[in-house]
Amino acid sequence: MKPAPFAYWRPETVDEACWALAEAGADAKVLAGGQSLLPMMNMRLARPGVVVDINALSTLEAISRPDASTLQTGALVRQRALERYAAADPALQLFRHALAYVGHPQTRNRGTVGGSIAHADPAAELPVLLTALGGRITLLSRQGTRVVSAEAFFQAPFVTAVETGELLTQVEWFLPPPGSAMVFREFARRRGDFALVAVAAVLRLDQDQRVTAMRLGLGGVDGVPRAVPAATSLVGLPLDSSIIADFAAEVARSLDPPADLHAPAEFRRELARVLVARVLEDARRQVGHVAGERGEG
Amino acid sequence: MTTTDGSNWIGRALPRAEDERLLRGAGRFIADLEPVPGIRHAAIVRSPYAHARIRSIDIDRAKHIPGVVGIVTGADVERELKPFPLAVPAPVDYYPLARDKVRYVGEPVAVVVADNRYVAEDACQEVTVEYEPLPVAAGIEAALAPGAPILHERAGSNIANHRTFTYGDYERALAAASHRITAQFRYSRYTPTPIETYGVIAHFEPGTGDYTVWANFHGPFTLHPVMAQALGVPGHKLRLVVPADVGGSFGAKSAVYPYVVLMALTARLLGCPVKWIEDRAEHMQSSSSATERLTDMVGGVTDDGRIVALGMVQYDDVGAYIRPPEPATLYRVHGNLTGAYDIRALRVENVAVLTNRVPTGLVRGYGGPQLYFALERFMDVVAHKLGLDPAAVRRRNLIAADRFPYRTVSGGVYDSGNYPAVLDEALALADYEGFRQEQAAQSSGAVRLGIGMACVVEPSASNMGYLSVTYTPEERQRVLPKSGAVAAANVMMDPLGGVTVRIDTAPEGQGHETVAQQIVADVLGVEPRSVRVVGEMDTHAVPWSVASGSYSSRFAVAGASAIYQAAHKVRQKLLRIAAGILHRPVDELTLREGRVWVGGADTGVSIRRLAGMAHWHPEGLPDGLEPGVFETAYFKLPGLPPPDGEDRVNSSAVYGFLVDVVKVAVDRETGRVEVLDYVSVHDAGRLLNPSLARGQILGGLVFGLSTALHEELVYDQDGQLLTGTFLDYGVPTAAEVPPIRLGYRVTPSPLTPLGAKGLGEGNTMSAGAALANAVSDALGIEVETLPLSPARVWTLARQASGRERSPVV
Repeated sequence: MKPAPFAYWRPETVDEACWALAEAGADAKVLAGGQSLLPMMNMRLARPGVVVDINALSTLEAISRPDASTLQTGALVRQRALERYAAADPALQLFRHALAYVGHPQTRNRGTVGGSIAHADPAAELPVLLTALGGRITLLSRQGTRVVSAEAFFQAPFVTAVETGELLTQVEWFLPPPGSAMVFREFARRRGDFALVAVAAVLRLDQDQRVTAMRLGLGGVDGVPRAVPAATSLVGLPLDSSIIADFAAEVARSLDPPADLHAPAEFRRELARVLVARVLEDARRQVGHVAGERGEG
Repeated sequence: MTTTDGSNWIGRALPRAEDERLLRGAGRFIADLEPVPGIRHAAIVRSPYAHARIRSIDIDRAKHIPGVVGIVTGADVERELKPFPLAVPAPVDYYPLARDKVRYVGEPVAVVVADNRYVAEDACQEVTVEYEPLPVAAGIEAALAPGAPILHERAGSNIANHRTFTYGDYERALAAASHRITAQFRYSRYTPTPIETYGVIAHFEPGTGDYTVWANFHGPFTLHPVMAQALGVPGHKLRLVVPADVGGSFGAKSAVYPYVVLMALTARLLGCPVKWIEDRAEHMQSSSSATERLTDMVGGVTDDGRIVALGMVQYDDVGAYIRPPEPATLYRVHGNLTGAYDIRALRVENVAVLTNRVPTGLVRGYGGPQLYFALERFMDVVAHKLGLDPAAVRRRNLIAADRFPYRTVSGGVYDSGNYPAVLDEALALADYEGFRQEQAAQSSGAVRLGIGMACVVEPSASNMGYLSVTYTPEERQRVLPKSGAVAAANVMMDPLGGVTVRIDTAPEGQGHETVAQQIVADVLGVEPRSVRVVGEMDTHAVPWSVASGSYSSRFAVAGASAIYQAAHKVRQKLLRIAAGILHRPVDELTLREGRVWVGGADTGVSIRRLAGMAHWHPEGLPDGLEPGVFETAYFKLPGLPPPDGEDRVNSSAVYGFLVDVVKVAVDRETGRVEVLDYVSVHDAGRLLNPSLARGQILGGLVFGLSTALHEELVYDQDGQLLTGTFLDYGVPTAAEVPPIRLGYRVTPSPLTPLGAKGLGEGNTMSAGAALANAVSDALGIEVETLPLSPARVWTLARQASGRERSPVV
């Protein structure tokens, strides 16, 4: 498990990084936390000719809240750093809950938010969260800056809108208004595993328990994280257990999940039904409270 | 038994002597060693096919890569080595490198040696092997099917060994029983994944023809003659050194020995010392595995649940070669096949099946998990069929407390125990009756409660003769008999009175150094931390024999006894010297606090002075006493003869006992099994160090639970491993450890001087059955295989409910 030969570049500035990526072209891979890239290189499943290490680019380590409805995370923000940042902010409880599922504290100390988004594993937690909340991704290259919406970013398993020569520099997350319920649940074989199915939900109800807004993101059920379009169909309806059960069944029916060693497609679909229902029950109970809630699948 | 005149260190929870160096990062593992200059590094070209003929190997491009020293292939091995001697009569040639054919994915095909591992791996990719793929037999059924591809043409079939044993009046007992109950179970392949992988450093001295090999091999040292014979040298030409620090094995590293031979040959052919550190991908794919076991069971049972006849057909998938000591998985428990039960009629048919998968070998519990999963699940099947409580069925069949020593029908001799008392204690600790009431009152939601148990007779210190039953009694007439379970140790004192102990147990992290200190401290009346224990095994420096090593839970039983015996020899010598100085008879003298005492009085004569005298002043020694203090003991456990003419064999020296009771909550919608409470009560005789004992039990238990819930080596029908990384192979982390409560009873073994029994493997034998029983109880079905992954439990739950969908809670 030693990597094939490669060139190692460590730019000092974002400009230098863009220059390096332009120079190396399609043969380059960006190294941030290395939690996915390095094992793949060691197994010689990835053989980049040039590794562009962006760990010296300290300007990409910033986390900020420019306004109440936005969170910005630089590409190099460690998952653990965001988890800690979120712990201090009631509006970010969903981040804390979702990040607790990402690997283990040791891997979160290295793993980056930008790396997870750019890697685009269909079962990873952060892409599901981004899909549920909505947001946009900033891509920088020698040609300039491009901003891509979360919906357009994830294209296929491990394939994103990032083009040759581009560096993901920032992820912007849209935060729901205060009073929204936010729940993240996933079902994995063991703690820290990639999810078999993950569900993130953001929900608002009026005083009569009728849905005023809802966003739902699902992971592990498709090649990319899925936003559930049916989520809007609930708007205006009173959210009770029977509506939740029908809705969860409808969502599950609409899915065509992949099968693998650990979960036949039918099991995954069923897990999605169960998790969507449980997440919405959690969210319904939570409305009126600011704090998030998390549960085991 | 009191072992000392002074303080009793044995039995205390002394912290581990090993931990300071390990926690400081100062341990010295195989990868840290550079014992000779000029070491080069090996990487191995491995087969991508499970079954293929090798047409050609082209090493030309690879050997010209800068930094490459040389390449060894099957042709070299065929010319230079002999096949490994086997434990069965079948003609299945096994070499450490493939020759004409490859028979499993990952089988070594060539060794590339270079200045460093990076270059060696680069060069591996330039070795071109032309394969002609052959049909694959990737499991027991495929290998036994009519027209199945034959792995070893000379053997004529894929059955490497096949024996049937009948004990007692089996046919009549079965026919007379009012119920005949059958069941089939499958135990999946798994592997113990030690943190440290295999490692070998091989050095050949052309001037003398001596091989010295450093490897994290921990025995059994029956394999030393196997290695020497493959190399074609007398035993003393192969010096094997095992570092004091080995990063776990759980049995797996016993199978590093083919690489010991392979690297020794490579070092000789290429003219340089060679170091090979296996990487994780190699380890997962091609090191070793537990056997997959298919068991057909039939029981003759009375109306009240008494088993009067037991029949078992056991098929073991031993992989592509029958690598010694296999097929021992089938035989290590031969003397305790009837478990904790008084069953006097038994028929066992054992079939060792060759398949296109990695060869199998020792894994913690060795043979026990496979046996007890079937046997202890079968007890529950009997209970369910007869409408009885599983605890009641077990009570009815348990060997009574007044029956010890108890001779099983297959030849085992259970030395001591009180099985009903341990069962009662475990059920009480778990509040079995209370949980049954809770269960009866549970609502009909997605989550179902269940409780399960398992009773396990845990063997320790294997009889070196048990494997001879792979031969028929007639065939055995033609080979020399094997027996016993010997351990050896040496205790010496230097001219300044320092005590040094050498042990033959090749520890893999269990804490043998700590317990050796406790034993010697008690016998010689010194502080345990003042005793230097050399954990390193060296076949040129440590007394050893074929049974040496750490396996079959033999340290507390055999290794500790040898240390105790050697220390006693030193003690006797010191007392004789003291008797000469003090003009008192030896039997009036005791050793305490480093000095000689007469009755309650300190004589002021130190053992340092006594040892010093043996070195500095031999003229002053009593007549007939040799100078120096250097005592070696070879300890032989009693009662371990070769198999008899009826194929009865006492396969282990002593037998402990444990009962597990586990409570689970099973989510029928997600297949999640949550372990609510895990109770395990052990009777392992006297505990030499309760802290180490607890660690051993917890480690075994977590491993057992993990194979019950998460771990499985999954292959596709082409023999490709689908769980080759930790992404897919589910090793447990701390987060997977449930609440565990332990209990102890103490029935000392009458056969060992310290009264101890082994206890580190029992829960790997019990956990799978106990958990499967609990899940079966929760869902009202019969679990037949492990692991109980979410997908499998979800499928079982759906079958149980007979509905497409259950309600959301």
